[in-house]
Amino acid sequence: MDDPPIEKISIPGPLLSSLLQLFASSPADTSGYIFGHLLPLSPSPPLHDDSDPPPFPPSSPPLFATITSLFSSPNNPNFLSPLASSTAPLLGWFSARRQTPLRPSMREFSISKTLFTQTPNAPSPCIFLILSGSFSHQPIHTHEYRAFQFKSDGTFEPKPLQIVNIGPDFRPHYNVFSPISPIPSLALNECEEDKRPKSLSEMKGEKGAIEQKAMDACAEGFSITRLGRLMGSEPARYTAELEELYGKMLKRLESLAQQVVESSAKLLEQVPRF
Amino acid sequence: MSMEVASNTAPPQLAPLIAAQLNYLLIHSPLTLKVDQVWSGCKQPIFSDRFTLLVPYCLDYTRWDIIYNAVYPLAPPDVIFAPEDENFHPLSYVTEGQSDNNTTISSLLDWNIKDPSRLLSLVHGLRDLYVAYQRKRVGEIDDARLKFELSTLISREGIEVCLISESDKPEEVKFAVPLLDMDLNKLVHGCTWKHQQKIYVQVVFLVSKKYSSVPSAPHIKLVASSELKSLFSIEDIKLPVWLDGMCMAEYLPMLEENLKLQIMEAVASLNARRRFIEALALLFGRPLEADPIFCRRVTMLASSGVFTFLVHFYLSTQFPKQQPVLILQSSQHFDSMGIPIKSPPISDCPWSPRWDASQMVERIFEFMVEESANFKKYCSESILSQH
Repeated sequence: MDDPPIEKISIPGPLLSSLLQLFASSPADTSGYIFGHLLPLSPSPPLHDDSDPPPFPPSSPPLFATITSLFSSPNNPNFLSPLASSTAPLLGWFSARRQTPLRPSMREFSISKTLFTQTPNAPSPCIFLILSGSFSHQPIHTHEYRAFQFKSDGTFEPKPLQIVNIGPDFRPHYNVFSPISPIPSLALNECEEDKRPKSLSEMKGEKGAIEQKAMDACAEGFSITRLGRLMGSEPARYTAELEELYGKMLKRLESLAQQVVESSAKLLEQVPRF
Repeated sequence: MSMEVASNTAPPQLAPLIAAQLNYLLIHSPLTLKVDQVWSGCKQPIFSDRFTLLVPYCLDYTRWDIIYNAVYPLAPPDVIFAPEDENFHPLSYVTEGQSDNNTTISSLLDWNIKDPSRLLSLVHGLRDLYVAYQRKRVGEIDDARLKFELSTLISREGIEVCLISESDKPEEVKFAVPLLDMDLNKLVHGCTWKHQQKIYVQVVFLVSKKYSSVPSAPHIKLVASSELKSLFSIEDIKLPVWLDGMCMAEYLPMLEENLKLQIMEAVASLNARRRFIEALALLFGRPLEADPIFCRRVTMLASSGVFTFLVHFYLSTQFPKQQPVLILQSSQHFDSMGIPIKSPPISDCPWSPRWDASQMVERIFEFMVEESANFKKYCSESILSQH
């Protein structure tokens, strides 16, 4: 396998500090996965628009790796648990061990090799990050880290690690920023086609006929248009009508309750007594 | 050795199970391993869990950091090798089947922290793989002479080679060849050498990339384990001359023959010293103090009238050829610090290496009779000069 060369690796400052924090707070040595993106350093010329360009053109332009997220299993440092679901592809892994030389160890070589050659979705190229430092009871903590590209011939090649932070001059960039992803479609019901909500009268005239019928049965002639007048300036005239409607409704509820009482009494009679 | 470890752990002590494995290694290994540094990798260091091991290789030491994890004691230790060995990947040797020695990986796979012998087998397994790795590295060098030397020597038992490449120096290959197929520990009766004593020849060849017409002579040096120096001094042994166009297969038998003779001489010298000390006892009485194994030192008590003094004899490894050096020490005269007054070393007493031991002792005894008066005078004068 031909290794695409990595020119440089970048990591956002907050992510690096969270990684250092994760390490500093862990009781012992720790390790985990690195996720991120790989981009060609110089954009390839847009010649083959229609044809599928090969993933790495014969010249293999240098790549620019960006670490975007991490996953570490705090429970067992010596076992890299199955890949956690991450939106970004797997880039490699990191090993954090206190007060040790920044050189890959025997085990780290084996893990890198296994990860690179025997994992189905093996990262290519594979990045390996070593963190070290002194943390024990000293007033000043020092952190050291070193990034490598693990090559298919079994060598670790040191690579520069660039820390990317947003500076104060980044603000104007928001003005020229345009989102690439569309606003997600929200699952609403059919009336979302019209941008404005429907008025009651429109509802009556259109598809709402069925609902209207059911409503009219309950309203008993007290149509929705008349209800609308309640909101106007002279609702007092209609209060009597409304009270009559409520009265009817209460009577109906009462008769329903009566029926329930009678039917349960009949049921009780039919139940055999023991 | 365990005491040494304990005193090194000014940071917390090694976790007990790790210390048990390390002590077992240091006590039982035939290699002269050293522990350089012990420290902890934990956030709350109660115990140390990592140390630097100096592993002897090719007449030098290579540094291996053995990294245990005190928080996860069941996990096998990891090893970080020296910076110049960045291409040494012992586990890949094993998985690629390049070595039939797969005990290393199996011992790591089924690691048992409670078995104290595990670290010993791991370190020895790794060192065997390291020997193979260095041989492979040297074998890959494109140098006709080195290839020839390696092919003729590789069958010798215990041979070690290593490639020395420093950025500012031309590449060199170092051979460490154990010499003499004899047990040096049995040469000296009653000796207490802990490790197997060995003499090695160190041969350093310059790597020549292009085939040069006259390959330069290698640097040759004899190296003996440190305890051998009480029997003979390796620096005194004369090396045969390296002739142009010679190879090591020719040179080594000559060297070994030479060395064998000189070791025999050293043993003969030891026997002569022993006989000398035994003869001393006949005239001077029982020695106050003597080195019974290598017979390099003996102290006698002598008196001339009421003046009693000690006679220290220092016998060299070239003994009958080199006469003993005597120092007299008064038991009655002390300097202002309360230290007994001693004579300067005397190396001009009557002597001939051809005399037998009793004659040597007789002549020294006679010399002592005269010398005691001088020494008494010397002591009184040095006391007077203090006041």
